[in-house]
Amino acid sequence: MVDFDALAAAMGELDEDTVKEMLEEVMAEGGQDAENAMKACQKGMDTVGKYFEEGEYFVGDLIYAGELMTDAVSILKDALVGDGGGSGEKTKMILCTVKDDLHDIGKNIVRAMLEAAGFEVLDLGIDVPPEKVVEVAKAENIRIVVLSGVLTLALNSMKDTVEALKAAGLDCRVLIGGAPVSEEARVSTGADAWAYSPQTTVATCKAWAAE
Amino acid sequence: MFEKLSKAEAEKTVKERTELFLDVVRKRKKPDRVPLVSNDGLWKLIDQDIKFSEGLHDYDTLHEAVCKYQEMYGFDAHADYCVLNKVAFQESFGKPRFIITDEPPTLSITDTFSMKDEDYPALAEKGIVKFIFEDMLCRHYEYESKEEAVEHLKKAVQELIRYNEYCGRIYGTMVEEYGVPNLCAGGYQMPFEFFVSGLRGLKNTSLDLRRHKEEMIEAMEAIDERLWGEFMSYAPYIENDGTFVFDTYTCPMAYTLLSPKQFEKFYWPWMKKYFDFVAEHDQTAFIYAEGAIKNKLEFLQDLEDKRFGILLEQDDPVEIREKLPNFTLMGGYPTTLLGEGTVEQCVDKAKEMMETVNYDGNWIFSFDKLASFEGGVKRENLLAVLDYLRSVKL
Repeated sequence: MVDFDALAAAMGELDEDTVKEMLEEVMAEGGQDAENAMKACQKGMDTVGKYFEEGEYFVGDLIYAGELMTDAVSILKDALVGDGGGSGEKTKMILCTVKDDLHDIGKNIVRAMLEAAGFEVLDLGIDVPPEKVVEVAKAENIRIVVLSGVLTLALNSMKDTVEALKAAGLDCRVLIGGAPVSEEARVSTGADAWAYSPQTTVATCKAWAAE
Repeated sequence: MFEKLSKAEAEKTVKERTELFLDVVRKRKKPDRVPLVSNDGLWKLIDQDIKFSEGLHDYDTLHEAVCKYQEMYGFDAHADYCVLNKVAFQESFGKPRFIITDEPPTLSITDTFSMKDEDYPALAEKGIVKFIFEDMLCRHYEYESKEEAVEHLKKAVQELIRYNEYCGRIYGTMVEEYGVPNLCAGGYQMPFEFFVSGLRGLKNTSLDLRRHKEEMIEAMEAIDERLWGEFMSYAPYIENDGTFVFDTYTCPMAYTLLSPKQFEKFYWPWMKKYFDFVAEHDQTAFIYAEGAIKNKLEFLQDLEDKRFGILLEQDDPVEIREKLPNFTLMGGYPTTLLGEGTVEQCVDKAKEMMETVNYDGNWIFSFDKLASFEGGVKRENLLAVLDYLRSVKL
């Protein structure tokens, strides 16, 4: 039987060979421990986030971690689906890079980490206009929206999106993330929270989902 | 306004400005005032009301915009004359990598790549030039035949000639008509940058750092054979004739992907070679550090004094001044304040930085982040800051 603490540690250390060997072993044993394996991987991703916060891991490590997590889900997915989705009902949320900004690497890292944390992420892509966010938020009854951007210009689009959500009467919590954000930017855009790191984004969204 | 100068005035002014910079960088004496360098990206075009789609393709328009910009602000040097991105040259290959919009003005770059995992041995064996022409070109641009590739290459050569002509012309105009020295005479790029900026892209490079470690090192050696060879063909012979500030520059960007441990393996050996060269030849060097450098300071702290300048983008200038006393600091003035603040706030910030950053006269004024977007800088704010800094005698 797989040692899940060792699996979490291997994920945290980004030891790809060990992670994949252990996950293959879970599947070879019938897949009944897939959910525990997923939880161990999520725990490992928390470690990755912690290392990033502490300055031990850098952007390249986060991208690698996101890829490794995607591979992990891919290995386990048959068993997880067979279990009815593994971690039960997920919180559905919106993630996108805002209008006039085409950067998606940071967004994709955050997406991988949000999915690893159990969220059902509706990734609307890049250069997404406010009306698209409103449309999907209405249709899917969304309560959490994460807006990403790299350009300083993105702050204007973030503000427009927050205002559009409010104007549509939607009760969403909005987090802004990416290179240009700050507390000042949060205030000027009208967002509820801001985050420079994926880890803070995940922690904030988890707290909102738990409310 | 800072109008064009007569030939004699321009000759005198360019030498005075160069001396001013060298007083700071070489720490020869306290400079008379703070040298002023623009680091505004494409804001020059926005400020002069030129559309990106026009300015980045029409070099006459671009030349005129840069000249008017200089007449407006009177900088002592410019980090860039809107030439960092060879947009028209790149487009001539037929698969645009840059995405330009005019409303609002934006220039974005796609994370494209064509080198595959299994290509590493070929790159190491063939070297970068042969590898690109034999293995990458047709694949990357999806050419269906060699003839199609040749047609595009002909266009690319023409565009490169146009680009080089513009560069030569604007550098010459600034020196000869405005008395503005060029910031650097030449440059060297670390081989690691090539992986991110074209060969493998950001994501794959991140994966390769763990999956293809040794192959990456071998490939970088092969890439550097070309890069260093080119650099060596002229760099040892550079002699400052009073028309430029730094002898050479390097522009680290992809290093932000790397942890200090990875940096030591994948970046530092080549960077150190460059720094050693600069010291051995008693030259000066300028580091345009995109992103944040603070996690790599340990590598820079022991470098020789009085020859290195560094432009900051995301670091705290006060902290870097304290931790890198061997460097001349350029920049650190918050671009966002120039865009969003009042004249009074902007001048107050300049006064503050004169005390916290320029306490010993070893600072060159410039912005922290590029301002290549609408509203990036308010003209009245920048003019007020520059006027104030010019007025302060050290």
